Amino acid sequence: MEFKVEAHRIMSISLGKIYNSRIQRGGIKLHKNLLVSLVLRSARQVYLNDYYQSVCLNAQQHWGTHEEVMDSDQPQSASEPAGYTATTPAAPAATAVSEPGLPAENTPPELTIDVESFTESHAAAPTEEEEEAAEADCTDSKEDKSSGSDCRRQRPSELKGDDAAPASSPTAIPMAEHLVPDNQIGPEGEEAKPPQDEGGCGEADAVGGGDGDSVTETQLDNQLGASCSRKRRSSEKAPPPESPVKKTKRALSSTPTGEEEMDTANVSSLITIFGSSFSGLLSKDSTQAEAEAEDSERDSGAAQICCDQILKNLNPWTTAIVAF
Amino acid sequence: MAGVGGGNDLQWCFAQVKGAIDEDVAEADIISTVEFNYSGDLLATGDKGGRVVIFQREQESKNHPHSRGEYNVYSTFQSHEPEFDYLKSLEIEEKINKIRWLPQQNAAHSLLSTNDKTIKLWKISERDKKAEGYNLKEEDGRLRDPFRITSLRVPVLQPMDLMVEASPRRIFANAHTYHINSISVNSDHETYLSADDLRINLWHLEITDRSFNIVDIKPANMEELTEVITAAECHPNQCNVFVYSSSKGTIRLCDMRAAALCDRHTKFFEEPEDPSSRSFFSEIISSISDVKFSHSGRYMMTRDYLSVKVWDLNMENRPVETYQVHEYLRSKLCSLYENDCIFDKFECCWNGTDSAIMTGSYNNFFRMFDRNTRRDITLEASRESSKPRGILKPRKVCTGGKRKKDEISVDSLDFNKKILHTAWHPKENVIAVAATNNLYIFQDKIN
Repeated sequence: MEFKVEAHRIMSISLGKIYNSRIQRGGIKLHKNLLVSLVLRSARQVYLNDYYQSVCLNAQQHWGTHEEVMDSDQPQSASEPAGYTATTPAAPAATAVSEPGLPAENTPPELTIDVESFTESHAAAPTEEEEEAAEADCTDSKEDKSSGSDCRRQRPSELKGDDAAPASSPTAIPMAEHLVPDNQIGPEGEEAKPPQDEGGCGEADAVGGGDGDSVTETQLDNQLGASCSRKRRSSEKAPPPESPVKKTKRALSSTPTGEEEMDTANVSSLITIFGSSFSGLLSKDSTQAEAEAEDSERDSGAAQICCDQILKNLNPWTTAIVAF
Repeated sequence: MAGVGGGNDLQWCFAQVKGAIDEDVAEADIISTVEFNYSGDLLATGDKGGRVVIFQREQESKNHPHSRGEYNVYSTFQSHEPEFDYLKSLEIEEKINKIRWLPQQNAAHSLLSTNDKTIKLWKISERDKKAEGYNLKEEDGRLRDPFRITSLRVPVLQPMDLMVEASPRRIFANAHTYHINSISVNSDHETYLSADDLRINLWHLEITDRSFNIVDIKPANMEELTEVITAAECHPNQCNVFVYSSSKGTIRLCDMRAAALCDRHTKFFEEPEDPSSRSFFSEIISSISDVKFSHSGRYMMTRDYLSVKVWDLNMENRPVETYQVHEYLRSKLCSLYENDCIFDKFECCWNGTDSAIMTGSYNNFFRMFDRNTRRDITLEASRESSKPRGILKPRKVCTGGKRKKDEISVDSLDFNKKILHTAWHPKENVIAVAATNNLYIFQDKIN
């Protein structure tokens, strides 16, 4: 348990360092950031190992208590139903097809944007394995959408985590290719599309697990428990459509700490800022997107531009490295 | 008292300190490199503000025949200015990363200084005479009216106050995409190499518009990047051999006769990792921050975060000697990671006879190791212990348990006072230690 706390703390610190390196004089220092990313990866592995173990061990107990948690969180989440409607098409069509999945679930835009921001277009390695694992898990979760899915959702990540651990070559992120065209269709995201949701969530798992580069996976994993639990809660009601950015902000502020023992709000904020900031590093368009993403109140139009801009820059970190 | 560096009874005393005494240190004044020239008469320092200050040792005075001359400022010039890369919207720091002297070939002295992107060759020359009595111009430079000249005279050289001029003779630019971390002059005195995070280039000192790329470890897909080049040096005797160290703790020796592109190493030096000491930060602390050949060329020394290792070039699987610099920090790695100290790049140096090595630590401590006696000593560069000719007292860090008198506990160490750059006179026991913005010069006690 202590390792998990320590690992989480180290991950937050590492992300903070990567973020700060952006504004340091003299440009991004490749050596230092490489070392920080190695630490991030190590910490993430430890965190996942511990998290998976503890979640699986507690799975039995959580079955009973989880529904209580969900009910108690409902009033809170009622104010942010929109958080779950945006960018539903983000869920890649590839895995969505076969998912019965949870009803009326949407990938939180926060997660989506982050995933898109940090997904890297690696050469395809265990892509198919990831998708299959994700599908299998999501299918199971239909039958038992409470706490058990927590464990199952984590499983593909864990699998990938182990795979990715020793390898230095990154694995494929299938989501990357699917997300871009889907996310351009912003307004459509307001419709609830259960299969895609499930696929989205599962896909997030796959992405989170498959990436050998720790930057992406850490945020995804941290987000994962939060987003999945939010999804389950929102399935109780039909969410009215709202602007993506507002959803982002509310989703951020309401990062749940109920089920997760870790407070991920800190990391989530860092990730979102980090992602959009890196977009800004690359181009003038991205700078605009960054500014918009970080402002508090936006109309849906600007927010849409924001999403599009960010989504166009799928790999800010790696692209930044490449550009650098 | 333990002596290190050439004799059992060697003691180090304070000689000089250069730099402001203010508590408030301007970032631009922080010394970023220190280097003696080949004779040891000149000592160059570079700082974060892009300035180079050269000290010259004065001749031993007849009044004090047994005391060595003092180092006084010889020349100061602005080597690099801050620049802006418009394409990438990046500012290029003017901090001098390295200075390397060129062998002296005439009355002038030459050195190479580099920042992150550009290397410059500076010629430092003295002028102590000026010509007077020109025909076509007055002494103040005004042109004389040709019609007024009625007779011719021969200009005469008159003595003047010594003036030391530094002029940039060559500028080697636009060859590095990443940050330059090392330059090294080859033993052929014609070429030198420059290394950045992913590439090493070979230059000719006379040619600025071309360089040869001899090492390129940039992967085709940058996302597969796992290690970077951290330091590189030419062999002191064999002009075809050079080494470069990596962030993974490995050193590669390359022979330029083997191929034009030395991507395949000739020798690969790596010590197997001790699995029992793995932690989150194992990779960071194994990253090599400096590599230096011994003067003989038989050995090389590498500095990683916690230790200094001496390698025999003939044995690749492990170093022949390992010295722990500040092992007490191993349990503090997490805090050092948080405050960024774990990324500090310490340098190391040999003495003239290769019998001793020196490197820096925190709290303005620096460490010396005698390779023959296996004794080590920790000394401090501070104003308090800097009485003229005062003998430096060995310091000790208390790692646990009861703190003895005069010991300092690990938690009391000041991690903002770090000694990253040190230099040892090539022939004598005189050392230069850079402590933030101050340069300390210590020498052995003359009986």
